[in-house]
Amino acid sequence: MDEKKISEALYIASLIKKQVNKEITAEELASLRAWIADSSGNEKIYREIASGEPLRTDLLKLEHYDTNKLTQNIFRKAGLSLSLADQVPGEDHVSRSKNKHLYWTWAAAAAAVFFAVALCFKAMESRTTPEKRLALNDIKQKSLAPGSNKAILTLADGSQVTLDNNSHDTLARQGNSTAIQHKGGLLAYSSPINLLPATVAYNTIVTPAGGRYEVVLSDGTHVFLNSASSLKYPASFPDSQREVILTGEAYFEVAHLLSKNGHGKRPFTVKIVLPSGDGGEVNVLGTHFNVMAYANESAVKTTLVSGSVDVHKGNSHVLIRPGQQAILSNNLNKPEVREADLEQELAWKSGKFVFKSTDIRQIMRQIARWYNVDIIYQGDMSGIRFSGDIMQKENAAQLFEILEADGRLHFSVTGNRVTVSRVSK
Amino acid sequence: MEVKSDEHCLVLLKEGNEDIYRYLIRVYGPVLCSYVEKIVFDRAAAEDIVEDIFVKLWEKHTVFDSLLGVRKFLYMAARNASLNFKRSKEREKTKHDAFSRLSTETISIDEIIYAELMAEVRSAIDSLPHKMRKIFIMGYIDQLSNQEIAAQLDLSCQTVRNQKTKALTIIRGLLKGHPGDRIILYITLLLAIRGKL
Repeated sequence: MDEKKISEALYIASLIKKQVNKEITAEELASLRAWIADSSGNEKIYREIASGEPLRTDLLKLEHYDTNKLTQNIFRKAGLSLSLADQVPGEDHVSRSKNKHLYWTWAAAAAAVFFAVALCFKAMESRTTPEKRLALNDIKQKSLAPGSNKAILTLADGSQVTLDNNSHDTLARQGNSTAIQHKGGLLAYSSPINLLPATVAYNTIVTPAGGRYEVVLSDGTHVFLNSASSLKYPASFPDSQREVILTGEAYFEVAHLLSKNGHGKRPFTVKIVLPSGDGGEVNVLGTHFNVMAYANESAVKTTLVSGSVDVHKGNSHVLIRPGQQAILSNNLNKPEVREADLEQELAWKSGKFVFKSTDIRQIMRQIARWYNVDIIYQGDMSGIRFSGDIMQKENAAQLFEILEADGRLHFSVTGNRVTVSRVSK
Repeated sequence: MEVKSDEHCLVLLKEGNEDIYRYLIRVYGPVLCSYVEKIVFDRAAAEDIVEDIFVKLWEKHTVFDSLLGVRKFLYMAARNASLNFKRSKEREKTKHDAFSRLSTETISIDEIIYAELMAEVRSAIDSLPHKMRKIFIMGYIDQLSNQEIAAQLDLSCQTVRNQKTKALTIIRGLLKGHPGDRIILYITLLLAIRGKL
């Protein structure tokens, strides 16, 4: 049984080595994939290896063993005679030398070669020149950190509060309702039941590029605000209606609420504001849906997960069912309905980028919002599309490496600016 | 030492070439020590165990018919010897027997995979001549300029440049990059793995 497992490990290791050396055949790749898919444990092992870091650290730890001493002891035990080179730490030995500098030299060299291996893992083109490989190293150092929970809250009196993962306290009383900020990027309002505000006090929460925040409104509705977005809402909703104003993107989990007289439910309305003006509105009773209304995207998309919503623009409106999406193109006044790809539309909520033959410019717009960078293009980007998914907690450099790997694009980072260039053939 | 392939290595080992024996010790010795130490939690014992394994390897160096067989032997021997050592230790103090058994009886595949990949890297490094290795590191790890390296090592700038290029050629040769017709498959795989967190 042990032997079987060792054989398995050696086989997988040989496949990974072949993959690094780009010698792997389609069948071998298929069996490597099958092994990875076989258990979450295997997947974890592979992911760790591909990340490079644990392997690099372990590699350096090996330097604590003295290979010269090892060699001498083994030769003695095996009855072999030692050569001069075995007794004096030789320059050509992969060994820890008594010379400290040599020792560190070797350790660093191991790291260097390992780095080359790690780059291969990241699907470097073999025709990429050494200089380009090292340029990638530069990108890594100028790494762009992913976004996190942060936002600015503007209270009814105009005062502003910065929100992030670290702050947690009761912020302020807004009329009858209390705004409370919890740990972990959640802002929650609680309102005494049946006590309605005399005047409506509006609060506004704004997320910067690279920021996100979750708000629980006074009616219990959860709003997940994506990066570079804003939501204006009453600290406590009046009886007649519930209305909020959105720019950017948010996912809503609207709470069912009966009207005060007990007849019927109180509707919830999301008004969408675009720089060009009215972006329509979404009327719901109690449902889960996503509204994507970024000014620099070509359409406002409302994607329904459960319940039903009514999407309005001017005189026209459409009703959509779960799994559907209402698309309001910027130059049109009537929303169109189509089946939505929920995984892709809601990827941001689960902290992922999901691309399915997605245009590079669209990908870069998402990257710009999450990593808080400006994008500059050089060369013809037409026809460049990618598929795949990656966790958003990854550093931007990792994403760029992957996008660079098929040789069509090159990324360089200067400060907050990412230049995407088309690699000429 | 440059070992061209597994086959090359096996032939030399079967011939009883002591240099290939040294090479295997350099590449696999520390890797196995680390593997064993993770089971026995005793540095000196680990080194002792690994030394004995290499002695056994030498005793039977003619019997292998593939380098895979050599690798299997090394890991099997390392594992068995480590467990035996642990058990004899545990017999001395039987108190926490059950618990420590559990943790050591299951073989972890990942450690062997890691060990193998580390051996691969060590073998790549092993082939770089000392001076080239040093220049390579100063240039690409310490990120010194050619002039700085030249000054520190008392060499000409041109020599430094040549050595850097050569080292990269060697390493790239070892990593054997073939023009990437399989690259797309490969990226897909990477993305697939990364996505499923």
